Amino acid sequence: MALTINGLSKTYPNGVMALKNLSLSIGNSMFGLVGPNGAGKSSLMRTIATLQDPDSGTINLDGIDVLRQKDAVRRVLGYLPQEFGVYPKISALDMLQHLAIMKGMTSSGERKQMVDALLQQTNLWDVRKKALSTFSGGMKQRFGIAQALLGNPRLIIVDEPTAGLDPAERNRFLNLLSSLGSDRTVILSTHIVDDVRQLCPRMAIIASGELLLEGAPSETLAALNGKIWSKVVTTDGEVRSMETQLHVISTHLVGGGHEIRVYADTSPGDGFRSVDSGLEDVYFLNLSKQAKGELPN
Amino acid sequence: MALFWEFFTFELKFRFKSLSTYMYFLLWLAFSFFCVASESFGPVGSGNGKVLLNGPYANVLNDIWASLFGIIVVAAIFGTSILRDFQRDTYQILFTQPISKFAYLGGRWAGSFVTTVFAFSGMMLGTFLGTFAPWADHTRIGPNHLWTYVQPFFSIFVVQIFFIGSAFFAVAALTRKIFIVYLQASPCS
Repeated sequence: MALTINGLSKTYPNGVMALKNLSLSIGNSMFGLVGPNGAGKSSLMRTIATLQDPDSGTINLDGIDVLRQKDAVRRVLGYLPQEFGVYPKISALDMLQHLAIMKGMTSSGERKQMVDALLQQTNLWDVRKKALSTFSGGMKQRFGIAQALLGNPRLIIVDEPTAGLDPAERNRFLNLLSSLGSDRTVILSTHIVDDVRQLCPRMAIIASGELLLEGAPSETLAALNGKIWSKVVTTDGEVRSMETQLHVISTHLVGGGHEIRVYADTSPGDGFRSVDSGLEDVYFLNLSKQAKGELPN
Repeated sequence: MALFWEFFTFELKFRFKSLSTYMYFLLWLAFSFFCVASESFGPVGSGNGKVLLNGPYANVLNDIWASLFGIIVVAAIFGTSILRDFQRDTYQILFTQPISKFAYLGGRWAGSFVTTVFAFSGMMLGTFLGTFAPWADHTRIGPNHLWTYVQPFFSIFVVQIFFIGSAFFAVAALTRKIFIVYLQASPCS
């Protein structure tokens, strides 16, 4: 299962350049797509999911031309949009049955089995007869992933699935995703770097429509080993002076002080201690490199 | 074919669970009932005193008057059935399924058509019930022939629903704005 994206570009009518000549290769496994809001993640997801066409570029899914053979893609696709509505007065069970028929499951026995299994897997069995419009945010997301899994799709796209979920729901959702198995491609698009760290053996960072980094999280972390330094300072002034002199990746408020994390080959000065690199450091570092014009190369 | 049937039956289920479908039916029922049961209501009742209240002429005229309001209802039913996925933001889930245009559009259209015909059939039932009203002027009410009800209904109204409904359906599908559909409805009525 290989998804090859080549030179994808998209500019919306209002002038926003959502995708700029993006090229990416995604294989069989969980793939994390990280980026800030407005990076172009959703535009990319929607293009792969056959909802919109790019201005230029190609996408190839195991020999299927995604842009020209939309129906063939839809047969093997499961898509969970970032936001979606529901029909009023329709129960989860009815809606899943309706979507299952659309997916091509015409045999009612097979359909019932699949729908029941998915309701169990997403913990919606007890509320299956309740109207979707009465569902809480977490339940709606669970329904969303249930409908995305109908028909055993080979390509699953989840767009910002854990944004807005409480920690328990988020955990449950991530567990569900990780249990999906390795014989299909799952693209997880998110701005929560932690989700990618937990689940994805491969990731990419995109921002402002451009690809900044692609690789395995462990490799990207290893590349930064010993190059992340941390210091706690107390005044805003110090923070600002540091920002001009050093390559500051991020600042956090920690117990009243500011913790500055700096990228440097050797210790940038007094008070700095070497810390383990985290995926957020990778993320922020690449964003700041883009802001300075050093990326994409 | 199976997919067409699924969209058709789903649309019917959706409409018949909705209160508005029954409200439209009752509205026409009430209007037609009073056209027959009351002398001072409706074009025929208050017109020439010699015309039979439930005869073919009266049926057609009363039904036409009732339908002036009906154009908006046709717009509402046909327009919303195709725009529901945009209004409710379900199109992202729906349009990533392998569905054919024929099944989706055809099924929705057929479901809207049957629903609208059902709603309009309130006219026939209303007139029929009106003939039994004990306070009505029974000198102007002739014997009930099924054909005087059914013939105008099918020859005029069902045909109108077909053409006007389809026009609204097409406009809704092409413009994707319900506002334009209603705008189109007002000069038509």
